[in-house]
Amino acid sequence: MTIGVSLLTCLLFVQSGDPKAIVLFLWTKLITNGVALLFLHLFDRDKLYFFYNLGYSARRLSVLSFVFDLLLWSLLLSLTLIIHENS
Amino acid sequence: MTLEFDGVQFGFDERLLLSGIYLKCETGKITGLLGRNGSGKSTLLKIAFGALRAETLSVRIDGKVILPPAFCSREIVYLPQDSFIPDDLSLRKILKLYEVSEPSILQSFPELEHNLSLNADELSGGRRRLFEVVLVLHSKAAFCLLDEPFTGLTPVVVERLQEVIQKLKSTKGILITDHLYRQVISLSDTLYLLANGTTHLIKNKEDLIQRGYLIE
Repeated sequence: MTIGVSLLTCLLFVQSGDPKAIVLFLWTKLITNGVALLFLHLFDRDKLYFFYNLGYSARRLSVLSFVFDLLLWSLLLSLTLIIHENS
Repeated sequence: MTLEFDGVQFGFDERLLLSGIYLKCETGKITGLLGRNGSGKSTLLKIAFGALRAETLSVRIDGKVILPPAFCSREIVYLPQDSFIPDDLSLRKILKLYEVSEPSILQSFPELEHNLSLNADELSGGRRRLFEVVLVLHSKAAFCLLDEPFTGLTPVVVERLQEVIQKLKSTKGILITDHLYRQVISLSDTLYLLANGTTHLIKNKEDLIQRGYLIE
């Protein structure tokens, strides 16, 4: 789901071409990431045991996945920006 | 090694569900935990593992206090009642993540070999449960907390699993709870009954009758 949102924001960025829109996209990413984590904690709790057994607490797991997803999104957006400027 | 936990205070809506708990689990021994439905067995295991927070709790390994959550020490693994492995990972990848060697599980359950390349959601319920139990048992942690490991398994598999548990206890401490009480009793070196929110050390069948777990 979060990867889908990342790709969608990149596509919307190409269409709008407005650098100011990045702030709006960042908020979209933060909110959807929060919703995804909340969904996991509320409706798919049993799957957390898989990670607990590997020594990852829910907090550590949330932070790691959040940071990784934001880094990936930044990379995708930077690539989109470079391609968009060169085209 | 010895795992001990006590001092648990846990409740809902001002009703105390667990108090006066003491459990000891040693490597080389199997500890059984029995209790009626709703007595709090799973809750107790989750608290000891660190997945559920209690108002007070003390978990010690060889007398050394482990700060919650205990699972972060990587000395304890937990098999929950419900399936916990991700649907979209192959069993082979899961074994790698848990650092479990394929030969070690195939030695006991060769029928799993054909399933290793499959994703968890492609397995039958019984096969999935068997894999999860074997995965937890063969992981590197010193202590395994097994919550209803026999659920969904056929009697033949349950018998073989009992043999595997007996073999593995030489290197691990295993705490097991299940409603197949005969199997739990025959496996256990030490047996506890959880009743009225408190653990009771059980010495014989009469104790279980006296505490209202079995009828005469």
